Amino acid sequence: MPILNPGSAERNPAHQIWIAVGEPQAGQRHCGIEYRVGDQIRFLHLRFHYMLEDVLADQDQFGHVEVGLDDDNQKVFAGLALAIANASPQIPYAFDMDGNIFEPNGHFKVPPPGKGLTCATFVCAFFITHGIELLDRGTWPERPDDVQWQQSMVGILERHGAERDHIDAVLQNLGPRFRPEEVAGASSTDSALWPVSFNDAIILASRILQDLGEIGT
Amino acid sequence: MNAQNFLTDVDMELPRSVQQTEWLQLSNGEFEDSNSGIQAWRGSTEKDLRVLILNAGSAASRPTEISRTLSAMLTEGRNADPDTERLAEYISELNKLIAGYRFAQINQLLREVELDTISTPTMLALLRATFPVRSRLMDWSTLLEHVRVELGARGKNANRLLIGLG
Repeated sequence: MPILNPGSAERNPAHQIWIAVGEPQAGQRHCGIEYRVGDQIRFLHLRFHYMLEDVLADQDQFGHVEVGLDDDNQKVFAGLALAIANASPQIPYAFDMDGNIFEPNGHFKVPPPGKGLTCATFVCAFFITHGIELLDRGTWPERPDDVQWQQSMVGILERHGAERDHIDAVLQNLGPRFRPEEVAGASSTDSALWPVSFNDAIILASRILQDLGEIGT
Repeated sequence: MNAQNFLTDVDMELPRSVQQTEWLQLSNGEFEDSNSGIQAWRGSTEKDLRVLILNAGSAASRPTEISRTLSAMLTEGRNADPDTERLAEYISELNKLIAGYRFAQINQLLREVELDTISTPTMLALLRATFPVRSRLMDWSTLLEHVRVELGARGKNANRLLIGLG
């Protein structure tokens, strides 16, 4: 039984929110929040530095994971996602999510240079702001290949024209990386099991990667 | 790190000037928590904060008036089935009050809401939308406990529905 469903798969009408994962570029996985608004499935995601997007779900490039919340909370979190999408907060891209928070009015509290979110920690911050810790973040280790990936992303930040003080501070705040497939995998478990530890998340993540390969996104 | 620590850590990183006590005395008692400089993260001065808090205090002391949307929320009925757009409207109205620092008005709403007249998702939305500012809402914890009892009365699993809220 796959964890990750193809984007075109029929969705349970009682469900209102999903975590989407895909590999829109070779070697670059990405995730975000899919939520139901009327007849539409929207995709709210942090594309990159100050690029929060809310668009129709891309069924070709992304699969989706059923979020392990009860039906009532699914409705509430879909409403919260739409409220954030409407507020269109400005979110810098960085790897150190500590100290980042959505303001209650849906905007993003401007953090110091070097702080910000990735696509994956955007999903975590969305839940944390409204009371739910999805990951047991203290159990995440710093992995050598994560540092390599983070440094490559800093290069993209530079080419993207990000502020110099932000880039310098990002390099000083690399820290552990929360991968898209780990966040998506954790969200697929029953909410009674949250926050999910690193050891559990990497098992789920490997299944998601396998599913991604079979779906071919 | 739990959600509460996450918020606390944000406040720990405010500039030193934000953490001084002088501006707390200008809030007419509305903002007793030293983390009330939530919008003054970076580049702000103490003077900016005084203006912010003074404005916040005057906003909070306005006569109580509940928008049409929130009035509709309070009378939607326990069996209502609000969709994403309706819930987002409720949340956005609450957010407007929060953005205006009208905590006294929000607190009054939390205190006076009759839980048997609103749906389960709306109850949860009320708690989750106000979760980040719960330290400023004297009746937030009381509402949480009332919601717990009401969910039990509806035969719902309160612990599951209230995950992370305390």
